[in-house]
Amino acid sequence: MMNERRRNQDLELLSAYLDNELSPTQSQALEARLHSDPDMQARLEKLRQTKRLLAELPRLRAPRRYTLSPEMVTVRRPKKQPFVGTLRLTSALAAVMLVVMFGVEFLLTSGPLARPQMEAAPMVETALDSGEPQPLIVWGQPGAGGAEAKVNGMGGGVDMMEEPMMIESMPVEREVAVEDAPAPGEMPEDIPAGEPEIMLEAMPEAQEEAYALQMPLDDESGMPILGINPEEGGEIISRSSDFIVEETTQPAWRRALRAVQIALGAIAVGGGLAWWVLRRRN
Amino acid sequence: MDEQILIQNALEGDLASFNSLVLHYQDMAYNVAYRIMGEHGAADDAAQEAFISAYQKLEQYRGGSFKAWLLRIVTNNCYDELRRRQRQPVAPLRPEMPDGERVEDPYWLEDDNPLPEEHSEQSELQAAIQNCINALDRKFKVILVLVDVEGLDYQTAAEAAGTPVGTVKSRLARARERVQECLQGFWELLPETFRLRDEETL
Repeated sequence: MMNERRRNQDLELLSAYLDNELSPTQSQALEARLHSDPDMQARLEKLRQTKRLLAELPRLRAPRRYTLSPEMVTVRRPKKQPFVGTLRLTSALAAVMLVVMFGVEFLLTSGPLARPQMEAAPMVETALDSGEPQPLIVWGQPGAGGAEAKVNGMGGGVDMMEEPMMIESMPVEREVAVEDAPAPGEMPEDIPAGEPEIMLEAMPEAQEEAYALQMPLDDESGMPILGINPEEGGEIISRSSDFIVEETTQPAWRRALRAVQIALGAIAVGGGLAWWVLRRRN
Repeated sequence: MDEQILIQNALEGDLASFNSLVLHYQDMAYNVAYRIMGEHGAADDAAQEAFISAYQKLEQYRGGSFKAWLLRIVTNNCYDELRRRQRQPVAPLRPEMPDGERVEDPYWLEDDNPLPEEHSEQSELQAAIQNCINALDRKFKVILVLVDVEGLDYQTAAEAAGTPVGTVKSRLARARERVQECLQGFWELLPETFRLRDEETL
């Protein structure tokens, strides 16, 4: 390894010495070595012969004149169109911004920055914590009789009571009340008709105003039929569609963000394609 | 006329001034291109392209050696062509007859009257040397041609090749050694002095 390196260094010195490209000091040092080293002399001589042979190659003359005519000058190579670079830059920037926006959206919706919003979401829990009485039945909420009533056909074709019954709200212990309350499809039969007060008694009066739901009662059991709005004449009411619409409707900021993302995506892809096509053409 | 004045006139759109420069440098451009490419046709194209490019890029010339600047364009053209050939190897021109038999020498390639420069190259030694140059790697070949064939000093060669002087120095030494080794295969063609000296060292 060392020998090879040393050999290459000597080769460079000898080659440069032939061309008078060494400093006076280097030349003197090399000449001293050449006097005492026959191998170095032989290598120098070989290089000198090679250089001489190369220099003796005939200088070829151009087979024709390369002078330019006005036509040759005007027929220039297609220069790179100036907007090609701009197109590429714009496309790249759009792609980068798109990635950044996706990142920001992720942070706002799923990442650590999303916590304040996530905490605001469970409104029921918040409302319960505030001590505000909650209704037992909420129209349109899935699982509370609305959607399921429609799906299961509960309440369909049931005669309405002439005087709808006022249902009072349940006490604060909503979870317990919900647990205790029979599901719409599992109305206990052992509860006699005309005894809905048993349940209603447990409801606080404070919620009369907000949740004075006028519920129709079953003729036989006297229990309220969940999912039926008496004002709508016994129709099967389901506000689940409202709920779904509300759920799928995105906030305004997210809609705007989505529009910008689509626009950026279009710029990135379109610009990239256009740049590629122009580059291929050139 | 002064070279710088011709360049200035050419920059102002005077094509005749530029053509004066072309006539002055065209042999050098062709010779360098031929030694690098090893083919007359390719050298012809490279030289012509170099002058067209030089005119189009003349505003990029920032003074200094116009010869080195022009040679850099020539060598770059040769580099590009060699690179292109490396990517897309040229198929041999061996057309087939309708019966499927291959034609060794198509009529359009037949030329019993060699050009003057080809005639001079019929010297076998010169052909052997060119063969050894062709066998070199591109980066070594360009430096060898610029210094040993064209006779440029290290500084001008460095400008023409777009490399530092130190790189020119090391590449030239290796290129010379490789050509020297290659020429051993043409022992009988070498001059007597070359052979005798070499025998002494064996």
